[in-house]
Amino acid sequence: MRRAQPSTALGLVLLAALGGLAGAHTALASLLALGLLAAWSRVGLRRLLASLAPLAAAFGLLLLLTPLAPEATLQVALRGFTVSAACAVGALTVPWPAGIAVLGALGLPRSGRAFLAILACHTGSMRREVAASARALRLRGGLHGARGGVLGARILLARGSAETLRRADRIAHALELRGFSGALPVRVGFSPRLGEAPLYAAAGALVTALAWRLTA
Amino acid sequence: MIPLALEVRGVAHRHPSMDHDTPAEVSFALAPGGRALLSGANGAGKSTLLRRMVGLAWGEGTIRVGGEEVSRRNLRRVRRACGFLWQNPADGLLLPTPLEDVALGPVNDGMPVAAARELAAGWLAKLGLSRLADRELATLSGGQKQLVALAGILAREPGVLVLDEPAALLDPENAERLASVLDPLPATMVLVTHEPAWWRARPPWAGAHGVELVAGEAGFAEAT
Repeated sequence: MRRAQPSTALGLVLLAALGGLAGAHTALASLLALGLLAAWSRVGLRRLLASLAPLAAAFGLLLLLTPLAPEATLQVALRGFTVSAACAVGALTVPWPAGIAVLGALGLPRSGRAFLAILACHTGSMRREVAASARALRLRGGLHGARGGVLGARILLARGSAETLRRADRIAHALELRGFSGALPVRVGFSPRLGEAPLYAAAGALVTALAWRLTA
Repeated sequence: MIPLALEVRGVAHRHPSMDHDTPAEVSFALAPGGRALLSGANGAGKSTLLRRMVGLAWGEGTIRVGGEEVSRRNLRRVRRACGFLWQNPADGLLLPTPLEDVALGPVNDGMPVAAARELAAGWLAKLGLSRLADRELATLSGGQKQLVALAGILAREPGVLVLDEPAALLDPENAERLASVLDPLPATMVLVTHEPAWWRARPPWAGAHGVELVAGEAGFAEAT
């Protein structure tokens, strides 16, 4: 995967999120910019869709409201989707230590960095734990039908809940033993690169769209 | 890496769910640079004893690292002096790539990022892991992860190494590689193993202090 500088990617993601909040037109421009960042970073479409899949439930609720106020509902859906997509693309294109280090350089206090680091470690390891549990369930015969699905979900939830506490403990201990006090070994900063020109152009277009939206 | 003395006196630990101590009272002392091999049946308290050494568990008895008693007041200093290697490397690895993970300790000890990354690259090279420096940690094998975890500990140059069955998950080749990294180190070492004979066959470990932990009985067996 090709990586943009963390500051470039985070800057574009932040602008896209603001674009999503500002209005429907800027949200559309933001989605294009996010698409460019994802394509430029060679994030697979499947990976991107998998990250956005948890939103499906929220959109199901919005679909129910569409007949009542179609335009307003679609606008809310578009803007919400844009902000969510910005978060997803940000998570996929910026390694979390770099993201936290940039936020630190922007003034996020040490406790905030520590919290985000624990959260990031925990999310990654929990995803692997739940995937391993699901695999074990399948290997041991799996659970079939609707009833089996519910039972499987209950088993995964129970195991996930127990594991999440154990993992959180282990991660906190590991961070303490490794002397973690909020510093991350990542270089932050920004140096213009010709290769990132398409991303700068997208950022420029978003800034213009936001300025136009705010002054119109 | 300046080796430190380690003293364990009358240490016992009782889990809330058990009616006996794990381990039963343990005492031993290592001079700076000394080595101890801890063995015993499952549940005898080997890992618990190691966790006591770095203040992850508390109970009866005293432990001194470099002459300083391990207590809640000086945990930061004790943990700076002791490198702890988990049996399962996944428990100790935190950042996405080996280079970043190994540099984590030094950068939190106050080293500039560039110098910490250089130091980390050096340790990875010493352990033959240079080509993996920027790979995703999740894609490495268990043996490679254990070596990365060891590099992360050694990068902080601890005076005492506390090693919880470091070769348990490794194949013979990786176990040999890990042992050959540990062999020449000057640090004081406490190593939990189910194969003390394998370690004793290596010259640096031949004279290691042997401690056989026994759960729930009076005292502990000490073998040399």
